[in-house]
Amino acid sequence: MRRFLTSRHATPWLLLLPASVLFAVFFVAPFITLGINSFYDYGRMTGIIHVFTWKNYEKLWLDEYYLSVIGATFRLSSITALVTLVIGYPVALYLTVASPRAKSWVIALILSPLLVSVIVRTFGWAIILGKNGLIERVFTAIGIPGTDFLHTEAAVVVGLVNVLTPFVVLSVATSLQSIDPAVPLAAASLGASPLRVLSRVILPLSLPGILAGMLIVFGLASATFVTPAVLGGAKFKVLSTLMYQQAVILQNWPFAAAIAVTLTLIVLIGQGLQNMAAERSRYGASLR
Amino acid sequence: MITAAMRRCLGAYAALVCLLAVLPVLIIVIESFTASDYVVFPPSGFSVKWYVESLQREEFLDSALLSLWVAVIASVVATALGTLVALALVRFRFPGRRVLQSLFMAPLSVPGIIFGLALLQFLASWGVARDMTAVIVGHVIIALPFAIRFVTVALIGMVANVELAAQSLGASPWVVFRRVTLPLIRPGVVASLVFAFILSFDDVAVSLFLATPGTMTLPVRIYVYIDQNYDPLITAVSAIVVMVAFLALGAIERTLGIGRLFGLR
Amino acid sequence: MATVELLDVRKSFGAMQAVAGVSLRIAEGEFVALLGPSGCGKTTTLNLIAGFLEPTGGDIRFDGTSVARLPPHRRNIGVVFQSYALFPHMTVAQNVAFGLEMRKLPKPQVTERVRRALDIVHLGQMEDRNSRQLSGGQQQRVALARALVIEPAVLLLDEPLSNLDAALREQMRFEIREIQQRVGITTVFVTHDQSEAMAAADRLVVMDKGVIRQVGTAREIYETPVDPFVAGFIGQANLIAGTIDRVTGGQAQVVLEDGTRVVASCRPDAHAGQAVMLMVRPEDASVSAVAPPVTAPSATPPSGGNALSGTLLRASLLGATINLGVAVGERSLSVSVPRGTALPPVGSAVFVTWDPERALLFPA
Ligand SMILES: Nc1ncnc2c1ncn2[C@@H]1O[C@H](COP(=O)(O)OP(=O)(O)OP(=O)(O)O)[C@@H](O)[C@H]1O
Ligand SMILES: [Mg+2]
Repeated sequence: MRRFLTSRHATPWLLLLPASVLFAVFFVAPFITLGINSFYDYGRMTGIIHVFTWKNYEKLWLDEYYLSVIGATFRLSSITALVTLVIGYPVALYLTVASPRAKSWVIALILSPLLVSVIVRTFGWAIILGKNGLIERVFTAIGIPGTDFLHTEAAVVVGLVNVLTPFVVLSVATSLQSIDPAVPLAAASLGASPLRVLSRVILPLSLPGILAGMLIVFGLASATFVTPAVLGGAKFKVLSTLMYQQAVILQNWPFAAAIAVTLTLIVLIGQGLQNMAAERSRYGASLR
Repeated sequence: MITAAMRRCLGAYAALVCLLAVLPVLIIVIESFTASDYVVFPPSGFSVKWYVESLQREEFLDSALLSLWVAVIASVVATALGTLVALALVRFRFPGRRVLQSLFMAPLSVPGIIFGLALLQFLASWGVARDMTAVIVGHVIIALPFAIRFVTVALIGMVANVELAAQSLGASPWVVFRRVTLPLIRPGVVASLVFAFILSFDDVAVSLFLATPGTMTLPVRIYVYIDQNYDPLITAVSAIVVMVAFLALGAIERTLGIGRLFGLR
Repeated sequence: MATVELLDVRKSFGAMQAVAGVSLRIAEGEFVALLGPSGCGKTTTLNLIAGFLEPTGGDIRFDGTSVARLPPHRRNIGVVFQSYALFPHMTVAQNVAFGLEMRKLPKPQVTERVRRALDIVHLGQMEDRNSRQLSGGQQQRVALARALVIEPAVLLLDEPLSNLDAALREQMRFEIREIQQRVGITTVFVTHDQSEAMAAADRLVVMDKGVIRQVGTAREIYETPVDPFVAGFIGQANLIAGTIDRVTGGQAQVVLEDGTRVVASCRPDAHAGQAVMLMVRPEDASVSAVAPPVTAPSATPPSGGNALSGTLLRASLLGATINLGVAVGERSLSVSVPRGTALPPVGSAVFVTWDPERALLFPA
């Protein structure tokens, strides 16, 4: 052992030791606990009851109300993914033709909000969309009063799109960058109009980036908490806010754990699809 | 193939999207100078009274200080651990390397709120009280993938064989690290420190479950506050958070360029 | 100063055997050149000696003691890398001083020795330059100074002169040799350039596919290569397949593919009926417009007069020599003659002749 520790074969293991211990104890073990807890029972008076049960999953996956929450989560994530794509794609396209200066500006501006706490950005949207906010003022000025968008699904989508657009732009831009610049030129030389080049050549070639970007956004959107909580209000429930309510307010940890496991599965499936998409094409491979 | 006119259209569109991207942050900063007692946009009047007020609110000051401490410690620990891991993964070949690599990247795939809940239930099941250390540990784990990635990029970008050269000249492994490796990966280490700091300082999802009334980080304090109140006080607090973030951002732009931080040339 | 021994050293990367059993003894103060085609394992061998790689088999000894468990920094070696590997965050002088600092030399002495080392490589004026701002050749010289200044027991050079122009290259080669001999450093020098190896080294080691094909002085290897590979790799060689017809007193009569009979010196173990490869170096052959007098091939032991008839395809002046291409049947032979030799016109029929003493036979 002594000999092993002083030999160079030991070096990588010694380097990895601290982080591995930290991970094993505070990352792997907590998820195991979470998984186990999701199969425990819960009583309002007794707290967690340490007997095995499927109850939590049955409740979540079969009860109509909870199914509607799962549905709302899928709906919100899908709409967000679509809207971010529509908004982000032209920006990614612009990055391929912009001058280096303009390009670095756009990148900096698009990405810099990522460095501001999501709670701050979300509150900014609350001010824009809420009572006496920018939107209401503008609408009132043109004669449509009472347009308070806060606490609607639309408000949540706006907030999420704002937070997540950079991911689509990055993903699509990476994909566009890897298109051989001669290919669209070749199409143009064969008589294709710019719009046809776009729809018949560039769009199909950037499909991997589109797919990857949408799946990233889908995964991130399905598990964000702050945006739906602040912009959606108390009535608007998705899995993440439901989970928070169950864990913190109702103290039903086993049920919260079951929600967490379900949410993790949704995110992981999204990621699996995304990896498959990435592996299918050499373009997407550079994203991960 | 993209005509000049199309290009100009795209440029204008991109500018609009950029504006929308920074809009909420801009609004917060503008609104923080309002003179009114309620949130209204555009703000009425100009005053710094909400800044004065926020600086007098002890709970916000305490939270800010706590957030700062947590972020400093978490970023230093995450960067140190990340550097060790990156060294092992880049410079050595050993069985299980791939598995460990994906394990350390796993926090990227797991939503923060779920990790926070898992950590909460784990600590409770062992009867461990939540405190500042718990928050720091949580932040170290979510920052570690980035630390590993930044340092890895720096290590891969290093000139070939310089470490071997130093070794052949008689430098022991530690001296090689201190005199050759570390100076050469410094940009990656700095990026990791800054990014981990921002990640920790901005985090709501993980801290949400780990915070107790005594250990509430600033973003959680803001969340809890706006859950119950709706007044311009929080815009001033938020504006301060924004400034901290942008100071850090300036540091990154100076050392690396923000695009590179996200893997775009 | 140390002897270096490689005892059946092996190194595999996964399934790939980069070094497949190399044994070599390098004497104290000896200068050995390692030659071989790209990818044959030269750098790997050097890295094994340096200790950057651990052999998967065999042993390496310095002065008779195994260094298998000794990390590179305790081996007292100097290495010049194929890629220079200068420290980009240090100036030229700091680069050169690094090894001396590791040896805890007093500061004034470090400064003095760095200056001397830089003078030797003609970079006296560049001390404070950032090492990133140097040209390839300058970087290579800094790397050389950095390895030499510590006066290591073993000096390992991986193509250290490949980026220099011809004049500087010759000069540096001379300097390396000079310092090496004065200090008596045991040196292993990897190079692609055979003339460089032949000029500088005490012995050459020719490698191919991870094994040593031949070890010897430049003259031994050039004049008596052990196989067609070495013959073709060191210098140029015309190789023609044939069969031995009969052996008489160290010489063999060979029937070539096209039926021509020629005579060549052969090894003691050659025997009639053996398939062989005939080797003639271009400079050992000559061309003439008329057939040389031929003695009846089958009867008396032939003496001289090996001749193949062909067509002169081209003549190119390469400085001191003229290289001729002669088409003989299907193949093209290369002949090299001194500048100023009278030649038949290109396109005319010629005979390629050589002295049987100069032709070698290898078992095919
Ligand atoms: N770290 C490694 N992993 C896998 N294969 C390697 C490694 N290093 C070298 N090889 C392989 O081992 C063989 C020998 O490589 P080596 O670098 O020793 O060749 P070389 O003789 O120095 O060639 P060159 O003249 O091109 O420098 C090559 O086929 C190479 O691909
Ligand atoms: Mg090599």
